[in-house]
Amino acid sequence: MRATWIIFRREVSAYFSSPLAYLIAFAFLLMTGIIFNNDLARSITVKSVDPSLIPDFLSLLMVLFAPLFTMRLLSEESREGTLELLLTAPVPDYSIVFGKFLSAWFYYSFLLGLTLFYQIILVNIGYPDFVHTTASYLGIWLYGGATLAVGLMFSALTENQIIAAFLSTITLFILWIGDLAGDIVASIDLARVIRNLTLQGHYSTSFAVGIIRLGDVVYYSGMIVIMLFLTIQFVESRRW
Amino acid sequence: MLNRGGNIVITRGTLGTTGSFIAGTGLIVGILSILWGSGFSIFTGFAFVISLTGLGIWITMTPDDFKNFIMGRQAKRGTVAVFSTLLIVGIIAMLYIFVMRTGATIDMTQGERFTLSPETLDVIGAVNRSIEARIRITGFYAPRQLRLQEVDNQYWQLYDDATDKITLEYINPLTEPAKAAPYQAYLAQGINVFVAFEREDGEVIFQSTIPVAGTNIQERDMTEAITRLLLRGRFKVYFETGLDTLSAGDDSAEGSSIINSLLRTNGIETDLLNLEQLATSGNSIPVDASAIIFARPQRQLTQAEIDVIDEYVQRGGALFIFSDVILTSDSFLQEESMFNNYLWETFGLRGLDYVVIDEASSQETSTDLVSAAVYPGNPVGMNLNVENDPQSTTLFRLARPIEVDETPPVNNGSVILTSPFSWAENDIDRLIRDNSWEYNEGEDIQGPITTVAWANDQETGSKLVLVGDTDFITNGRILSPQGNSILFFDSIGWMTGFTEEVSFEPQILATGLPIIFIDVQTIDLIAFTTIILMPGIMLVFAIAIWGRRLR
Repeated sequence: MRATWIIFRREVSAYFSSPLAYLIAFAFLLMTGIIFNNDLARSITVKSVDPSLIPDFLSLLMVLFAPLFTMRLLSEESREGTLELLLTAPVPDYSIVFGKFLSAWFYYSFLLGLTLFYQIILVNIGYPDFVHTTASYLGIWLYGGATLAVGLMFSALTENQIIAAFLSTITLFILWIGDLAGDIVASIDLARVIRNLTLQGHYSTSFAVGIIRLGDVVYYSGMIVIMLFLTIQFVESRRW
Repeated sequence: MLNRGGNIVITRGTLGTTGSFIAGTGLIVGILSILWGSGFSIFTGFAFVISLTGLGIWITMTPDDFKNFIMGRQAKRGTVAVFSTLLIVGIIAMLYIFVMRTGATIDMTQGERFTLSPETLDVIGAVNRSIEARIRITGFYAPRQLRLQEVDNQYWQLYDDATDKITLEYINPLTEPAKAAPYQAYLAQGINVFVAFEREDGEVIFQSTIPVAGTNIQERDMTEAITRLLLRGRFKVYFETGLDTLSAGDDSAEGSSIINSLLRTNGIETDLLNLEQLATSGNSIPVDASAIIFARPQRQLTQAEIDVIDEYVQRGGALFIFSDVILTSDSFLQEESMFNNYLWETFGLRGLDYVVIDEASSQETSTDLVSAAVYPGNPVGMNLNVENDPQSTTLFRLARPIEVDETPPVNNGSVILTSPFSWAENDIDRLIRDNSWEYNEGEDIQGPITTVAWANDQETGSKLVLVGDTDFITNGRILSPQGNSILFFDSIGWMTGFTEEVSFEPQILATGLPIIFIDVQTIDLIAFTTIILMPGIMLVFAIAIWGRRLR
């Protein structure tokens, strides 16, 4: 745990001392800000505000942003040769992977936390369904964790950050668009199976509508565990 | 592959590598074709043959490489890694399936939208108390509606879980068109969920089918549909046919088949009744008649027919009468006719031989009357003229006034009134001949004029709704504007007592979130803060760190 904590601190520090992290935060807040204001302008005198607006938008945005958060984590270490140093240090492989994953999740949580400012605004001007919003945020936090775990796995696969980002973007896009499997598959049972395998399928009809299903929590947690396990296997394979 | 001389050199190692690649690719393609085609095909066999050929080349050309692949250190570790990964995936998949089957869910909506309201639980209690009632919820969802089904299912499942007497079935109309065919008319209108009684053998009684409205307030829609189903047979409305009235079976624009069909859809039975035959044979109006509709009768009633009606009224019957001004000697509800006098003496309401003109609240001409004012106190008018909803007004064409007795024998009152700039025109000949009208003091009646009125004898329980127009219930007008159908169904609901049984306030409506009101300055401030200030701070941080690194 101590090793995990040290790597976590080091990575968090790397995030917050990098201009890239702030540029990502800039783009992230700009996009969510535009979406928020657009919905607000359409809501006035017409409808109540959408309690899961920002989390719903983030479910798509994370397809693009999760690879940016994770692409350098292991591939950069591998390209620069520092991963070999880490592997020879008295640090278990899982600590390296956990530390890096938790740092990415922490950074994502930080950005997610910034969007709570929109909710503070809504509390002051309207009557948002705050418990519904809480469910949506919990869902998108877990969803984000799963996307980051996928991104980290691809970062462990290759030394090239661009390839890692590209592969994880493609994978996450498939895991997002699979929610619409019913539109292209004639068999509803097959469509349901495909949908149950996707990230979006466990968010759009549960957390997004204000309910928490334990099965969806298990899905996201399971996805994180499997992806981190695979990442550990890829890191360990360098010793073989 | 190329030597120093530029010639192509093929080594055993190259062939072995190529063979391993072909073997792997063939195997993957073969497995994918099995999964995709749900079985073994010629293509699958071809892929496996290619794979085996590649394997043969690999084993023949580089046997040591192959041996290392299956027995070497990497292979051993790789195999352990693969199997341990599969084990982890298997454990998580089993846990996921187990948890999903438990259906553990937390409703996090402010109005507890995914929790059944006390009103719904009352209805489910009625289902439980009913000895014979077994109800099937049938949902038709095509694959492209999978997400809608997922959301709806979370509501329908609550009903299924709440009682053993409600079961749930989903049908894909694309793969089971025969099952969908009887519902096709509804499916074409976008209605895809139905409730119906179920026989003991599990077969649905199709005749009892009630469509569930799809308004995105699933709990209200479903509970109302189940209530209508439970009430099926308790309310019966008769269409009078012996007075040459509008035909309830006529599908043309001048017929009234739509109201007939909508009544049945809502669980109210309908039938035909011939007043003339009843009077001739000396029979009474059936005891199961919750109300009788007189839609544009063409002649005056005889005393014998009035006696039949009076007998029905004395035992608490309800009359829904629509009447136009018709200039014939035998026209229905003429001012001095026997039946008009009967209504006046019994209910304090009667039709007048005038045509209503409204200069302020009308459409194309001053005889196309829009409901200018509605008395909201009675259930008949409570859903009309809703603020900001122009569709909730009624539209009458060439209406006659209804006189309401100010010292009535029973409770009565107006429902719809014209504007203060209206009057009842006495010179109907001129109006018909020249299509012109003019208010004449002393001859015409100054507005506002009543065009719809109600009466209720609390002693006998009898009820009357008298409407000075008949066009609005025809197929061509009943749905345009919607206020016409609202007036009709709210009247029926009040007269039969159906509304009191069906209407309820589901949880979602009681806790609906209010819309927001903010001024322009606040909007601008919010936009500045969230689009400029917040991202801007991040940009400043990025530039500052970048600048510090450059130094």
